[in-house]
Amino acid sequence: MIAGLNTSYLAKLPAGLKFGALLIVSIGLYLIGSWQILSVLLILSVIVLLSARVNLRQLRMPLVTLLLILGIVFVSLGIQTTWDSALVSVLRLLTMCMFAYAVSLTTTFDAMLELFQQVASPLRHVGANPAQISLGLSLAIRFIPELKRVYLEVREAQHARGLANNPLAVAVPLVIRSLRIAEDTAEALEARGYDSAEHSN
Amino acid sequence: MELPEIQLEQVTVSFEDRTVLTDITLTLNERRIGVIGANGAGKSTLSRLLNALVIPTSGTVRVGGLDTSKSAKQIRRDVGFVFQNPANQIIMPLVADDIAFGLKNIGLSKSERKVRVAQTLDELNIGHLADRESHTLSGGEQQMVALAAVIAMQPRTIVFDEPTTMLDLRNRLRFQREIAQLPQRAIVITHDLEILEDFDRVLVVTDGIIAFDGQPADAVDHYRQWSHV
Amino acid sequence: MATATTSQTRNTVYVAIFAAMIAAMGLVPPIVIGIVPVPITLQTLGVMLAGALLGPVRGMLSSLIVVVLALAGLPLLAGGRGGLAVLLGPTGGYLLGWIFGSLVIGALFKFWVLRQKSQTGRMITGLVSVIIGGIGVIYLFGIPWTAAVTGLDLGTSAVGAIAFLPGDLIKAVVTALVAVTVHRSYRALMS
Repeated sequence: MIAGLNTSYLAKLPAGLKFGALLIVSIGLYLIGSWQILSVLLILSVIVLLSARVNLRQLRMPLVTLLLILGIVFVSLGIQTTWDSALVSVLRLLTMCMFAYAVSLTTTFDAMLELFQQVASPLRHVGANPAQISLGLSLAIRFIPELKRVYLEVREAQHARGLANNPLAVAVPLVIRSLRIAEDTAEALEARGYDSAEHSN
Repeated sequence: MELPEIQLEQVTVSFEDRTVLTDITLTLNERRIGVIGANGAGKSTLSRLLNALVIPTSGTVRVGGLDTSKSAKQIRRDVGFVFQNPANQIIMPLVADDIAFGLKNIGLSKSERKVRVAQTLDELNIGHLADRESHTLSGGEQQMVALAAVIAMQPRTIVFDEPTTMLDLRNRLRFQREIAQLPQRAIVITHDLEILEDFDRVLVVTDGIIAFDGQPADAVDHYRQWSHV
Repeated sequence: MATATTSQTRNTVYVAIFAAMIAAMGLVPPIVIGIVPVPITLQTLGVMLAGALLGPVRGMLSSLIVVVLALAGLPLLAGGRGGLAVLLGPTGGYLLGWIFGSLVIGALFKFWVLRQKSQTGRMITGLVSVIIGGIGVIYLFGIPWTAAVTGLDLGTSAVGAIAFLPGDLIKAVVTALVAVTVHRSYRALMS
């Protein structure tokens, strides 16, 4: 879902503006109870999405999952209450998600993070250290593919012993190796002069 | 380059239940120093005394006159450290950012960092790795990036803790060549006895003490004999 | 290899590594265990482990990091999902549930489970703690959110969640066993 290369008019808007607009639109959608109006808004949201020239292929999986969930919601709600309210609920959710995709796919990851950090900056007064937070986020991103690899390696190793599907045989080595990685990395950080007590970044 | 003297004075290191190093006294001045010995003998702990990652339980370690128990941060600017596991010492998702990380900590500006990173990558002939994602690098490439990240901080001493143990032969040889060309002092813990040939001094660590301290050939002989139990 | 790395640095790294683990668990295919015919996604296992191994604050921060990264756009949630749509959609509550779930599991481990003297005592209290935090708390946030957002009543939303219960119970058992085992050899992890 990363909005790497979007260059449309939406990409040029500041992240905070888009996020705020999304929140307002979402609240607004809950105040509308007519499926006709919601249908129009849904079409509008799709137009916005398409006009922003987003990479539609990125939406394939999430959209399929979403439609599946909404399908179940539609049927359950229809049976329980009325088909009218089921339609309203599903149209509303779909529209909201479309607008949300439009924001997510036209805002770079870095811009989103910066927005969150701005929103969270009051927490500084409660003791949160921005440099530490920034490092934590970068470290997490750095090691996601690494840990995925460790997991697959552990499973393969256990596969040879017939234990690939034994949760314990996979989870314990995974955790131990992860703790080891953490300790090595902490050493490397300190060796390079990282001083967690300072706002050094 | 003037190299700061490293002094260990009656250093003992104990952790919880065991003593890892006993009463070590050493003065290190040479440009190429090797450290060999069996696993668990205390080599890793010894190496970590040099950049204040380990503080002595008793005794003092001084680097260029600075006490490691008091001036860790300053010392770490002058003593770099390359670890055994290539992957776990690369901390940023992108290579260029990883090399720049230490530079932020010593106060370089953004433009200064950019220049230093480019210079360092050039020196080691790995400019092509600058925009790569860390997890896509091979073990050999990761170790080169780790070396670059250390060199970028311009320390006068670099300690290596078994830098080639996890690399294949080709990368091992390449890394050894890099170490040989470094203008900085290199203190290398290794199991690769061949690279010690041109070294100035080699220490053999056995059961927490320096069992032998002298010329590479003699040290290796001593270690070989000791290993034939 | 014990070194003098400061606990603050180590804590930052532990939090980040476990966040990476939770995220990585969302990127691997679900697994099939003999007992349950439906493949089990592993992401909540990571959430439970973070709380059980790191305690309330660090465990919660690990889950928080994953939620923040996912909302910022990384496709970290099972199914390759990410971005703001997840928060606004029917499953948004579960994200909040993870954060508080890790917190509760961590707190129970720190102040109750690890105070037990026997391994058996720890395993039993551990399992109870993970069920309370990893299932109870998470569903407590997830189900009402689904109801509020979709218009379904609580009962139906709950039924939807029940489908995941067998898998989550297995994950709870695994978490308890792993955590108790690891804490035995890593005594200083949650001192």
